Amino acid sequence: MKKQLSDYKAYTLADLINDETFILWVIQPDETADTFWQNVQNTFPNLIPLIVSARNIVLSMRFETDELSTIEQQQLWQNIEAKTILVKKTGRTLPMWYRYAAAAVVAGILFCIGVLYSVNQKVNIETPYGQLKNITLPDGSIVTLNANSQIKYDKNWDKDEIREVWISGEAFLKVNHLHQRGAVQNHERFIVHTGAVNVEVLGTSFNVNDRRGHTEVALLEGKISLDLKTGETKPLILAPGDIAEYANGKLVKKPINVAEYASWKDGKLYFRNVPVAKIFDYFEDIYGYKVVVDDPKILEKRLSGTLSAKDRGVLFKAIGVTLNISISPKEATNELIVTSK
Amino acid sequence: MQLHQNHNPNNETQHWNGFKDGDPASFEYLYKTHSAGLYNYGSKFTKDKDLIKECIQDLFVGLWTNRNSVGNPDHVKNYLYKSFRHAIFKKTFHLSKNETYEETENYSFQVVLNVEETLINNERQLQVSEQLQNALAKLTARQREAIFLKFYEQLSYEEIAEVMGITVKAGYKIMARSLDYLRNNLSKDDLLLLYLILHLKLIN
Repeated sequence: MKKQLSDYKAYTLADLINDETFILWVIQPDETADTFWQNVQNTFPNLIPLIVSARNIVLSMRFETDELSTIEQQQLWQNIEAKTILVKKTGRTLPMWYRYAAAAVVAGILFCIGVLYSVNQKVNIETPYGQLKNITLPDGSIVTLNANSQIKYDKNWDKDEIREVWISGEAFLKVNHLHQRGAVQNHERFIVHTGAVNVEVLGTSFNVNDRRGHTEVALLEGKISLDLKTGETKPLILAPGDIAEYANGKLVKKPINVAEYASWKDGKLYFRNVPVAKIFDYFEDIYGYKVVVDDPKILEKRLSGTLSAKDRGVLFKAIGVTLNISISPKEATNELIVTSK
Repeated sequence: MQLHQNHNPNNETQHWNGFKDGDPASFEYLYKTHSAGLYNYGSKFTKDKDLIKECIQDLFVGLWTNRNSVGNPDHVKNYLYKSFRHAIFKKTFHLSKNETYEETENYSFQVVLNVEETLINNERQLQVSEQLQNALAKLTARQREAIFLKFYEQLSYEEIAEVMGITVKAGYKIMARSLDYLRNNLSKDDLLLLYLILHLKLIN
């Protein structure tokens, strides 16, 4: 740090910040540095306020670290340990008959596991933000899974069992119609489980949206029956064009144009007099942004029209122009910044 | 201000050899030394914490399983970071076992510069840090990653090239371009602060 004391006379804030000895003193002070900088301050009292603010700046700037907590680190290590160093070979030799017996037991267990596994194996498909996926179910029914959604079902569907899937997020389903005539057999039934609602169908096209504690089912063709998981109320029967909404413990039918509800699967968004707040909820669900609005009045505006959802940049621009606002993604913080113009 | 744990490279090589001989303590040392850094690095690529942890787990389980056939890397840390980066790409792009990830610009790498609480009241500081953040956000993922590796992880250009799977020359080029960009788009004061932030890590 061998600079002349007089060098510091004309020091500016910028000079201080740029001075490695200064930075070192702030971060890792030792006696020599303390004495030295005390000396500087005594000689040039006018530097004192500069040194204080330079200190603050140095102490406050940093890269953000994503921390692995000690507990997480330990848990992870236990997992690794269990799969590596704890797997030890034993040095003992076992009698021959013992080995055969053990082998037989292991084979038996493996067989049982195999049987259970092949019966119960679950398929679990999740979509990331901003991506759709088409899935063909074991019976040939087709599911389009919207972004940030999940579907689960058994890998093999038994001929005598009800067809069942579990969905969270949003999906459009086109269910194969298996029922011909007579009494409905089990395997001709198809049930979609969501958070609070069971949707039972024979063969139809419909949209399920189960987000934010809210379930909506829109029917395009066929006939479906909705049933609360609690089983308290009578099932609600939907006809094509109906939408059922589940909120606050109740299941209600609403007359709305259902085509809009499934438009996402064709890369389009239909809005008819939709509050902007709802559109932003949708962006949060689909793209994973946190929407930040500078003026809450924006949220009260309403929007109608058809927009292409294929390119989110274009989509944001189009909505921005329509409402005279600016919508810009801030990738660093994963925010969608909305400002009024 | 986070201080970086200083690794002793000689020690590291010793533990690497120990791990290859099947010594659990050495293996644990490698995990303890690098898991936090790997986690931090991984979290710049994705917000999916479970995925990052899974990649760390797979990396170490894989190392142990193949300990008889792994080589003797010059820098253990680079070797780990490189394998880990590859694992993250494989997982995030859902590649199958035999597919390789074609290097593209098409990935995400987010770093956040932080202003600590003490200065939150000071509007000027907030403004500055936002400007810095914006400038960084305009760089490509590759440029941000190179800056992170250079200034946060203190890797040399040779090491950056190894981890990112590019040539040393390309590493220099990426860095020169990003610094140029920052120079042209930040005021003198802001650039000074950015220089400070980046530089602090070098001294530590």
